[in-house]
Amino acid sequence: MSKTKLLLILMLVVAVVTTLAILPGCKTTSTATTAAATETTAAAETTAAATETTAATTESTEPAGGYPFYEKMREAAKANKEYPDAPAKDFSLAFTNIMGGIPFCENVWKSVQDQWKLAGGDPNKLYYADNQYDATIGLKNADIMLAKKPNVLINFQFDSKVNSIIATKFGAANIPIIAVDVPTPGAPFMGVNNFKVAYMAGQEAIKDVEAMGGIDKIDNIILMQMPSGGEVTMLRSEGFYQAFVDKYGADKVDPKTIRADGGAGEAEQANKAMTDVLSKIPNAKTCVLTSINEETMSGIISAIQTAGRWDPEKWIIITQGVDAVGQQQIRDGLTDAGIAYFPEHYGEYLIPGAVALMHNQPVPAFMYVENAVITKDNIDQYYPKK
Amino acid sequence: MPEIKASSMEPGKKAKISNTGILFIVLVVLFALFSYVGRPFFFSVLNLIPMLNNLSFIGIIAAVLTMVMVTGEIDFSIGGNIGLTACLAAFLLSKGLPGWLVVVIALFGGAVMGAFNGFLATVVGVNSMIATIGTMFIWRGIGYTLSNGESMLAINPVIDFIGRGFIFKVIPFPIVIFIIIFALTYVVMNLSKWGRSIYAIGTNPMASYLSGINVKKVKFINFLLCGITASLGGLILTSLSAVGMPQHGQGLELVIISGIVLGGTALGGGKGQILGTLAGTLILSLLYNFLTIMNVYYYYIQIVQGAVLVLVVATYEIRQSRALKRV
Repeated sequence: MSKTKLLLILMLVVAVVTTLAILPGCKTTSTATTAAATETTAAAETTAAATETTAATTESTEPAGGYPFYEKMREAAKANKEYPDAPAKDFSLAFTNIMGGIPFCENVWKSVQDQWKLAGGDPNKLYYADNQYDATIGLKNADIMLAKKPNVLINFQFDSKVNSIIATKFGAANIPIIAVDVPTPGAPFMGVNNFKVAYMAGQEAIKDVEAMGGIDKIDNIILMQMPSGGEVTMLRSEGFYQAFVDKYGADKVDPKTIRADGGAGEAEQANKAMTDVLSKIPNAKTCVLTSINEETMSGIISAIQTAGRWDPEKWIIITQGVDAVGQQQIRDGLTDAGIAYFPEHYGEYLIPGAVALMHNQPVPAFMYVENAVITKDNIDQYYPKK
Repeated sequence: MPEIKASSMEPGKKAKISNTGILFIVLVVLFALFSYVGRPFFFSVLNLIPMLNNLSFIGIIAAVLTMVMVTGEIDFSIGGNIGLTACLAAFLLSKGLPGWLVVVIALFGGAVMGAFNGFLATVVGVNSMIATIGTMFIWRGIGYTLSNGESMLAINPVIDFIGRGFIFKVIPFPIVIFIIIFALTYVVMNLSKWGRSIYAIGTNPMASYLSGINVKKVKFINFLLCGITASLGGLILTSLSAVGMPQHGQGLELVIISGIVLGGTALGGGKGQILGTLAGTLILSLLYNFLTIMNVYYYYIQIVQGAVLVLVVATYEIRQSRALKRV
């Protein structure tokens, strides 16, 4: 036997023996190492389990005195004025964006930057990373942000379950988190009340359905969902469905309803998903449709057009967000209405919340953004043409 | 060091320092520069250890994929393999299987995926690029089917330890796997008959066949090993995120292949060094880490990473052509 073979065999044996010796479950005695791993597991398990129930648990912990510090900052933020006493001075803030380049996310980021300045924060101490709709990059970015030891993390990451690991790591470093739009276990949530906006969208769609002669004239109600965002994000379409059930009853709505996974918020994935949906309903002509955001709706509409089944008179489409893409869709008559989230105002909630956490002041468990129904008739009121 | 590789890489006597050597010098210079410019954040245990941890699953796949690429083949299905392994592991855990069994099944699954690629490339004779692009979609599609497109929690002490465990309380386990895999592949590529066969096949498959090397067997086993390590990478990523999701590993094949090419491995085969791959993947990782620390936008990071790749590979080609002129 050659020396190389011997060396290889020796290395393999060492590797296997070492692995067997240290892997939990492969040995009988426990060690501090496995205990550490188990601790992490327990923490992750707890936080993961808490993901969808954060709402219920934190709402009840509202302090008797309310949130005076946060509210004071909110006043300044809403008025677009400098915050009293420059509360962000000498602090640092990390912001991980869900996907740079998308108008909605860019608006959120710009709003955060503007408000950070108003709060007296140093722009060099506002750390930024782009998660690129990728959990792997999201985790990598979280580690980099953790190395920079910010005072607060604003976490905008698409998978709620992956957020449990981020929460565990930042929790261990005693760095508080504010979650944006997708829940992070144990962290205050800022964003939309997903059920409420979906219900609003459903009610808006029902107006059009009634104008067409009622639910019997509708072939299908299509909900393009984002299961990877967790149950809370699923409410963004389930609320839409609920509005229809409340109006027409489940017996009429259920047979017409199609739920599909529209991907993680990107147009390309939604396009593919919609192509599949269309092939399942070859005879459907009059449909009601909603999706997670306007980026996905672009892909969805494109799929309908490519299939040669596009008729704006027969597709009732309500979008979520009304970002630059959504505004254009409404103006072009591609969609009937959108529920505005006003991402350009997100910073008005996030920075007061972050500043409050920096000063160890309480923050509401939920900071819901105000919404409005935007149609072709009122869009110029909210978004004047440039 | 195999003669074929040495002769193909350094034909001129004036070329005193190898491409890998230059790459390591670049790596050291970049590291020093980043440590200075990125202070106090870059050069810290809090930054470097997680960076290596996050690099580990990419590195181990890159090491074995280098062996595949030196034979003149390629495996684009590694990203799909990662996604499917992550979903498979999470799915099996949700069914109550013990962690160690899940690891064994996942690695076996990786072996099956690798063997299927090897079968297509060596027995059926499909171009490995086309075959593995096809299987990439198949693996990911199966992952989506298994998970219903949703992310699934994958929490279990064994799985947790693979990506988040520590040895002696300080050394992350993935880094240990990373070092072991690199050491093994280095020994195989540089000190074994198998490694010499790999270089010979990459340089001239027909001549290798005529000289008695079982070309198909070598390539098949390389694909098999690549499948197993991609699955191992998938398990590490599952552990790091505590989640199995079909999107895991999406686009990673290009990141990994970029690191390998940056390390001096030729897409046509016959050339490549494990240490070069190590340096290549480290450089890409350092660049991402440093630029993110410096608050540089992702678009610019992509531009820089792409530019570095083009610049370094162009430098290899220029050095190669100059060396050939001197012969």
